Amino acid sequence: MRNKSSYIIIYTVILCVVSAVILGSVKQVLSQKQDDNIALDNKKKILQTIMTVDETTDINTIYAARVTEFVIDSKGQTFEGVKLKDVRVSKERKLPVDERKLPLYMIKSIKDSAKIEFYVFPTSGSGLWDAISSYIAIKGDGKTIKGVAFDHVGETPGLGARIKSDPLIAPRYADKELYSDDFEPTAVYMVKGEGYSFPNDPHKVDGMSGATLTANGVNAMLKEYAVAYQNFFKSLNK
Amino acid sequence: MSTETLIKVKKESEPLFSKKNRKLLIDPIDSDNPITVQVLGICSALAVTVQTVPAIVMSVGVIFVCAFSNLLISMLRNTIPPRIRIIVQLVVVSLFVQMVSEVLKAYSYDVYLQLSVFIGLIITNCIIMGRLEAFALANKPWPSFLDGIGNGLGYGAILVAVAFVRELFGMGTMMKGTLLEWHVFESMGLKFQSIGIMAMPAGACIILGLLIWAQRARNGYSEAN
Repeated sequence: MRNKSSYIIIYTVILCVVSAVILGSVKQVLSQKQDDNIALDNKKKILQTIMTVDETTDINTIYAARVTEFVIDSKGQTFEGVKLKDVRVSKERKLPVDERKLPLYMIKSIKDSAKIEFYVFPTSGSGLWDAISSYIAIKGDGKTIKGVAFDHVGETPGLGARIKSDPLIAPRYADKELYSDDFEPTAVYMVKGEGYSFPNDPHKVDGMSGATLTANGVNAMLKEYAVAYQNFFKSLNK
Repeated sequence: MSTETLIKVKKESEPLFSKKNRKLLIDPIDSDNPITVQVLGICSALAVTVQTVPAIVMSVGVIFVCAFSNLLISMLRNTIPPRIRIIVQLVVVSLFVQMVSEVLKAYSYDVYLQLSVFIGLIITNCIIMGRLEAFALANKPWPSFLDGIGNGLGYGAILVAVAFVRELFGMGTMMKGTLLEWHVFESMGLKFQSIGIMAMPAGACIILGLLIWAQRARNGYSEAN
């Protein structure tokens, strides 16, 4: 009886439906808590680009006090009627640059809350195996990088995954310049090979040995978003 | 009345922790260990043993998945069509793995990020499929449940042992990321020099090899038997 095709088909269908219902309800119950975790993690990444964040940092309080969220377009104008939490950076990336909704986080100075000290924006790109992303913090001059925080889905551990796991990678971008003096998006460029230092070249960054293809993805991503935010940063200096 | 039923139950069924059932629980921890004796589940033993805390979380995940999928498969064992039994096992294992993943995502997000890929890979952990196929399909639910816990514990014991050594020599800490975090070498006034290979899977391979050697030497086990 257990080898009859009809039995097998009915058995499979019931098994799948029951499993799906169980999983669906688990997800439903936990989704609020999961969303909170994701939101907190995003805030943490944004703050990481401008300061040291550890277990004792009260992320929510600092974020609420210092960060204002905006959505702009590629001309540097505010995108009316769009909330930042509805914008998915990886989805926007599929659109042409001039149709994208571009999130922007303005971070106030601690001393003078009327002054914007840093601008942070998210990026999304393709690594070697899967998606990569980052937050880039730009100083008040509109072109010098304050800090970066990379993330990835499936880069090779010990090689490409170092963009996130190795604490030495992100600081290599500090004080490099995303734009040239006349705000052309030269982008910062991670070189092939490791062990260099470029104190006199504001656009070159020491590479990751064995992870050139991930570095290429990072370079392409930074270039793409340097173009997208070009008009906004240019307008700061008028 | 109540004593009567109690006696009746005792007469009919085997006690919950009979000698045979205790053996199911304890054997896989040492003499029939899934990693060091059966050499299953090596892949994740190499991958998630950089630090102790993720190793513990991973072990708890595997114990949970192994125990409950053993239980469920054993309960269904007389209804499962033999021709698609592997697929049925996969569905059941995936169900529990996905549940672990969702719960971690809600309650321990940091660990979830650290382990996300490997949690998914519990589905393909040879220990779990191996126990379903070799034990749960032919045994009653309770012994199957114990067998699942036993094998999960055996897996976890090795995982934590390897992770302990790797964290100690790779990062110089114990229980990093918890309140019990302890910088071993600094607290003894020594300068810590990381042994790079311990932070990489190759380090786990060496530790695991030594562990298998030590255990087999002690138990007098050899492949020929």
